[in-house]
Amino acid sequence: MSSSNSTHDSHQPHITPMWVYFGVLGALLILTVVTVAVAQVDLGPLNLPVAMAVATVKAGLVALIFMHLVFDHKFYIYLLLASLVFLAVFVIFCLFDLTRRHEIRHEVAAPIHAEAEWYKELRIQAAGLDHGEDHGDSHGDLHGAKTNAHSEKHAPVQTPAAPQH
Amino acid sequence: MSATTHDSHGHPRLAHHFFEMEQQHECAKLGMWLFLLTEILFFGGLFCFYFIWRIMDPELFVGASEMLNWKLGGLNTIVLIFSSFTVAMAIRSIQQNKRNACAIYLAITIACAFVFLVVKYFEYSAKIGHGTLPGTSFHDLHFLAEHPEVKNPHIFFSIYFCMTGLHGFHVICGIVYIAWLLYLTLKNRFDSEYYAPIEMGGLYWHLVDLIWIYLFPLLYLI
Repeated sequence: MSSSNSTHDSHQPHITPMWVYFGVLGALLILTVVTVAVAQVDLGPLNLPVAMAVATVKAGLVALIFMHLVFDHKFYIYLLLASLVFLAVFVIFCLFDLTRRHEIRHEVAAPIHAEAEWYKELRIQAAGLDHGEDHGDSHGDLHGAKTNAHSEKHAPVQTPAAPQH
Repeated sequence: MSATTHDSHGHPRLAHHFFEMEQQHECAKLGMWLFLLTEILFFGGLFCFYFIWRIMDPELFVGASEMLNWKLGGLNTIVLIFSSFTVAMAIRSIQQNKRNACAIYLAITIACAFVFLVVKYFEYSAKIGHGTLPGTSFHDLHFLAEHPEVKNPHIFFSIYFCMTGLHGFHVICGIVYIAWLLYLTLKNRFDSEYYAPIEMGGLYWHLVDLIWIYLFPLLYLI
């Protein structure tokens, strides 16, 4: 009976100790505060990688402990990492294409760097709003802006003549 | 050994094409992980959308993310992290045959999901009220007056509504599935040998949390 019990126990699933779950919960809440705090500091272009790094630590805690990857067969973590590799290939190759396209053909990138045509009317109304500072009037303006936006969205797009650099 | 094999074979929830409960459980887990990987790639398209525009026009994101209320986003982050914790505790409870504790944890998880959606409702209705909408529906004049330097803000809000909308849809699906788990738990359907549906629901719910962990800083903070 005792031997059958021990065989049974070896097949039992891993039961994570309670303090591990509480620890992860605490760590995730602290890291959420860290994410918010770090974002208030202007690091320029570094803000994005720092935010992604903190988010990845949090995601790692959720995946490894809450999703039991650290206790499970290694196969599952390899599966997850494989999907992340494919995701990286997807995003990086798209970025290669879309961020370097203008080096071959300037006019392809030009419309992306210009503002959409239908903003012209909105900008004029927004400037009026800025000078007038009349909030009672703003509601009517919004409706006017919406109809203008819709009437102009089918207007032919002019290629901006301004150079890129 | 023979006793356990007999127990395992005799479990009422063992499907006839599986040899034992452990094999059945592992098969369910493999299938669930494969589904979660397709979910990652599914959201990956939207993350790609985000990164392409972020690299092309960083000022757009810095300016437009100020429009989002990071306090509400942070509240939702805490709510989702806590619900991830409760669903993990629900699995731990059913592993120890504590059905009542499991039911309570599942109920807390559902309650957290509803809090998340209510906060999201207030955020969305404020955006719709201000005209801060995706595509050519964008007509938020106050935003344009305050941020004359931000070009094409409608692109940011297209990304915002696509990503949070798809995520919100996953939260709704999670509520439906966890409610069904709660019903089955209350009907004594699960025990320490058969709890695969709860564990798979937990994996799904953790993934929903995991995606929000990335969405919150990317959309609200930077």
